[in-house]
Amino acid sequence: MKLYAWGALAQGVVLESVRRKDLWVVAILGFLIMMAAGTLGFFGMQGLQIFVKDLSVSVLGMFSTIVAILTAARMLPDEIKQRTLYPLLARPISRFDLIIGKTIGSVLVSWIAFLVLAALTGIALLTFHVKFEPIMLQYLLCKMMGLALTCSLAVALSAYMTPAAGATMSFILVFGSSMITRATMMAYIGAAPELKPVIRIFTAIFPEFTLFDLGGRVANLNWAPVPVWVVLFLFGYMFFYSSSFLGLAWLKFRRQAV
Amino acid sequence: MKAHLLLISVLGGAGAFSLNAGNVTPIVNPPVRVSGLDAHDGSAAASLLGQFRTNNSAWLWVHTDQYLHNGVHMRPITDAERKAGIQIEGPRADSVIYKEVSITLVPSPERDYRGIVGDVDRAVNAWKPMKNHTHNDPMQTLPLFRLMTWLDPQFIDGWTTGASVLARDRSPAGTAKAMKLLNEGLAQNPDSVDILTEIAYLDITRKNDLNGAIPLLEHARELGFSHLGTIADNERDALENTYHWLALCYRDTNRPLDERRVAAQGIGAFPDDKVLPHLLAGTAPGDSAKEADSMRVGGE
Repeated sequence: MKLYAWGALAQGVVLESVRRKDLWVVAILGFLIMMAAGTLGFFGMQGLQIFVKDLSVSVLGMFSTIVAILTAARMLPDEIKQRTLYPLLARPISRFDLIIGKTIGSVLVSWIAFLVLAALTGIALLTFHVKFEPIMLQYLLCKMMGLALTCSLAVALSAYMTPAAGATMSFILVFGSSMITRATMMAYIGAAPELKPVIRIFTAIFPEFTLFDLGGRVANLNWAPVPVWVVLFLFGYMFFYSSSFLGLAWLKFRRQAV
Repeated sequence: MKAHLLLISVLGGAGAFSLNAGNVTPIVNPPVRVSGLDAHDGSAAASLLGQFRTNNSAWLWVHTDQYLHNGVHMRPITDAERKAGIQIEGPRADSVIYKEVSITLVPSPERDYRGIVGDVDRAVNAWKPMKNHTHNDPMQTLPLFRLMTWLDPQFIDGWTTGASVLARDRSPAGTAKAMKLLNEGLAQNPDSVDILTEIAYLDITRKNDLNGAIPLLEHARELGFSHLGTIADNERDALENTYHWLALCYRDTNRPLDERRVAAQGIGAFPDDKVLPHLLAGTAPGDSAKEADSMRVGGE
């Protein structure tokens, strides 16, 4: 394992993101959140706390996912398009190292964006005396694992598709994950017996991104933190699927003519 | 050649239609109160803004239900699920706010074949067993009704359900607040059968003021009956209630002829109604203020 190389590549992605002013977008979104919170303050926060918390975690999850996908989906294609890949590959690193390092970088960018947005949202909500329960910490942790999985998916898809197509497919899979899973499970009940095993296999393979979103528990009152085994399971789930996605990306990228 | 003929025919037809367009009288163009997306159909910009407002109020409406269940997502049960023997996860009898024929969106263990992934899904989401479930205090959702009616003043259900929540406090103060909200809604939607009927409902059940309710119900009946074929479903349900209560009010104010007239018209409009035939026959005993609650179409 070339941890030093991965670290250097990841650092490059973060610096590139700062240089491209991607994180400015996050700051602007944060400002919009504050403005929106101010508008809601017009109605008085009494009784609106749950609604505001719900809205906050939804916006937080949505914006950070957008940043994650847009950062991850364009990394490899941009390196190829701008021909900056050649000097990178001239160094003693493999294509596998490149994928891992770049993915770590995109995960870090999405985490920075997420934490900045979370901090701004937290400040906005504290202004209105809206309090979060301890489960908020688990929400942050699980969401960060979910963002890592999202970045891996976007990197994998960008290896097989154009950046735009990869990003679009990632959006569909990540934002549509809940709907696809629920619809599949509803279809299972009325499905013909010969179709049922197919549906079961599909459900088992299809990654459920919504498992990393504890927003429903955070927004509403008196939900206990999730058990430790669930967090550990989610870590394993993220590791397995991220490895699979990055493996798929590497299978394509290792033979790709650049 | 055939294509040319077809094109000429189409163009000719379009031309003839456009020449006569000014003379075309819409068959269905009643001055009826519209709701939902159609309410904002004045111009492209108004329509776009209106759709934004309607979407937001509808989103809030869905979330209100969710907050009553402390974040647990519910969804209607499907026919396939009914056939498969899945039972609805309804509320406890003393906790009924409105009719619920639903199950949890995140499946319960007996409906889930995913094993440990299903267990994790239930652990990370706001999920709990919802058979005989209770609700959060509906008063918590009042600001949301205020928000949704501010966003979309044509959203009738926002006004009426908000007022129902306020009227759960049966004190004069609670009734006054509900009345104030409904009157505000009526100012925004003067042709709403539902709002008029809701105000009359409070007059009957909270103030026992039958004579005050009758003019409101008569007005609602006239509005609804004149647009019977075009009113929205919620307004239609409200109109059915209007007939019930108006007939009951006439019965309790000793106006049997009016009672039968209203009941007969109501049966013409709602042939499947179970209450109106009794009122027409004069066989519906009791007290209108008490009966109003039990006869309500669609639940509270």
